[in-house]
Amino acid sequence: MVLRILLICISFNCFANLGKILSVRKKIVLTLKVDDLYQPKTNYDDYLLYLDENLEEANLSDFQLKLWYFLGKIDAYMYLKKRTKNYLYSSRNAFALTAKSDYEYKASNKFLKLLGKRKIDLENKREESLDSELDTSLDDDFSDVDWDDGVDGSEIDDTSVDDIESLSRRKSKKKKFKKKKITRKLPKNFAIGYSYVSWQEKFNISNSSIQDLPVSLSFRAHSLGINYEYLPFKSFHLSSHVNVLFGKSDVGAGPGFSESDLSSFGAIVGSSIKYDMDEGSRNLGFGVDLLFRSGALDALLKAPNNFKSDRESFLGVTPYLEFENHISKISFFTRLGLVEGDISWQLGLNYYLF
Amino acid sequence: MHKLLFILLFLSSSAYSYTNFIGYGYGSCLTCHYNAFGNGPLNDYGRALGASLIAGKTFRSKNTNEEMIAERSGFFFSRPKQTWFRPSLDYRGLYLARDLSSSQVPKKYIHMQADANAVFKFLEDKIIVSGTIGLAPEANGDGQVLYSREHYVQYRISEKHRVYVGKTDHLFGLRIPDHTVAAKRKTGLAENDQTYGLTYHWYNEKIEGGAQVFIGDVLTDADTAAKGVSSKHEYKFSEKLRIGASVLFSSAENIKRTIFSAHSRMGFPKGSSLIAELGMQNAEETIQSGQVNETKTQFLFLQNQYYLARGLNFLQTFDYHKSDSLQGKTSMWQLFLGLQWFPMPRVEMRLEFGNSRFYGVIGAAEDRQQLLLQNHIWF
Repeated sequence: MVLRILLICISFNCFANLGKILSVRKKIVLTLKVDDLYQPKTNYDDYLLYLDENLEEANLSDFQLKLWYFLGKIDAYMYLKKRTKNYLYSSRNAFALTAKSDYEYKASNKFLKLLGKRKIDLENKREESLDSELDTSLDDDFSDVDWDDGVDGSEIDDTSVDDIESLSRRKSKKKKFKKKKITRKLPKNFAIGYSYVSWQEKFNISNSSIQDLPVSLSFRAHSLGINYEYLPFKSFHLSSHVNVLFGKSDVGAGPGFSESDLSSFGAIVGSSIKYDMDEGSRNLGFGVDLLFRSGALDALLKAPNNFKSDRESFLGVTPYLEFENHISKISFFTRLGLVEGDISWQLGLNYYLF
Repeated sequence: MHKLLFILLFLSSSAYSYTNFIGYGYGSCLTCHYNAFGNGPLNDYGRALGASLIAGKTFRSKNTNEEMIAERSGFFFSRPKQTWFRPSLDYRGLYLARDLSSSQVPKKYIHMQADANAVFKFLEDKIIVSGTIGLAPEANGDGQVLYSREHYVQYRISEKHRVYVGKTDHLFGLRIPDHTVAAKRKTGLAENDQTYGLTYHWYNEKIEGGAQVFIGDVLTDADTAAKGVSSKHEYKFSEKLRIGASVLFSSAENIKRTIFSAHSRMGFPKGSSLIAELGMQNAEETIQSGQVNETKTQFLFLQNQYYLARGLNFLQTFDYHKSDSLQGKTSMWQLFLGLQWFPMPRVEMRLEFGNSRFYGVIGAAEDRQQLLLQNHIWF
């Protein structure tokens, strides 16, 4: 197997230039980085602890493991060429993952040893006399590889393997692994925002000649508001917002009566509970809004229409679902609710100040 | 096994890819499509990636691994025997129920696309010839007509420069399958509005884009063919954030269009994404009396894709337009909520509920609801 790996490494040189290898590496990284397990810059010991807690749950397929293994080999090769810590760390972590997954176990451990790390013992592998096998096969297969060729002492870890092993053991005893998924403290709490809001109302109007004529009112408005996030609890937190609305309404009662673009204003006050997905980069929320709208109906109530309406303004409560995506200090959100049987929506941007 | 992986990674020219798959880290269409601007057949890498990364595992045997899936992603589950010929078949059907609140709900099933495609590759993919022929719905009827949505020759000048000669989609804005949204329907850039022309594509580390000179679909309808130029460019802020802009000028016998748009594509963890396009069009249409009717249209398309599980996404789409013409001002908001499901390789299903709200001179109209069930199969 090691011979095959070496052949692949050599084959990179034979018919693929460095650019081609890097483009392949990029494709593999693109595929792997959607997973939380992809942490190329994490310290090796921390990463081992992270794998202990998360690897089993990840349930990686053979194909994914193969990509990890392939990434480890490419990065080991790149480290050999470039001698930069990024490739060293990435390669070590990749082989740690494959070794712990019992994928190409022996070869992964051999690479780890070459990269200055002790072998990873799996319960069912402890009885195997790996050490002797490692020593002989590595001498055979890598006898022509000069790992110190072109070494810049400042960039490579030239501590002996034994020293590193003991150092790693001491470090791993002292360090407690911090699970990174749950952010207990919200990074930013207070935001100002702009949004566009729309809902539809239904009510009846009457005058001397018409009784209880059903009317639809479509309201849409630009909104400015503030948003406050608080009380983080596990992967949840609460959020409240207040918005003022400036917009227009269309009022229609079939072909007999309609008015468009009637000035209206309103307000929204609401609270929701949000679930923090993907380390807070996305939120899924459920909340309740109190909606208020006024204006728009003056035209109906005045002459010559002289309608009487069972509603001059609107005050209602709507449950809503919220979807929010965060990029840096900005979030894009949509809220979908139900008002009098029709969909209400709000889509907008929040800018988190502090 | 290694050999397959090796071939897949090294020899493929560059997933089954929609614009919003930037959430998976695939920002450039060139990675998965023969046409660097997207649409049309997938290359080997795109087919394998679509099968192994995008498709769900629900109906997969426990003994089948990703590599086996990728290996079967070729034409009719085969592994390509040569490097120069790639055939494919593509079908999309739509069950549409409109005006759900009315007493008689109009329902129909539409065969939107039934295409056969062949790609020929020569000189280590320096020259690629792609041709598609299939059945498409008639413009004004329930029948089907034989129609080719694309046939072109691609010449790769260098690694980062390509030209396309032949029939392709217009080079403008986001290329999305949602062809009924205002950004497509109102601008003459919908599902059957392809054009003959010369298209140039280039990219570097940060910018990807191109320009197109087009003469319309002169072989199908020379009288109404629109001639013009367009350009589209994107700036890559990161693997998962691209901002772009497009411009198009076209002139046909009875209508002149000038369209501008800006778009963004943002990826979030695990394949979620947010794509948006905001644009405006100025159309000068000469009507029968010789009078020129100038229509200004603003449009917005916004799609939020939420990853739920592998192969399953929640889709939230907003479509808006506002038109101002001699006939008055009208505007409409459409909201679509739905699920996009890739239950297995080569199969996509999409169930969406749509709500349309109209604003305009006619006063408030009742919201209209529709239900769409789309199936998409390819081999």
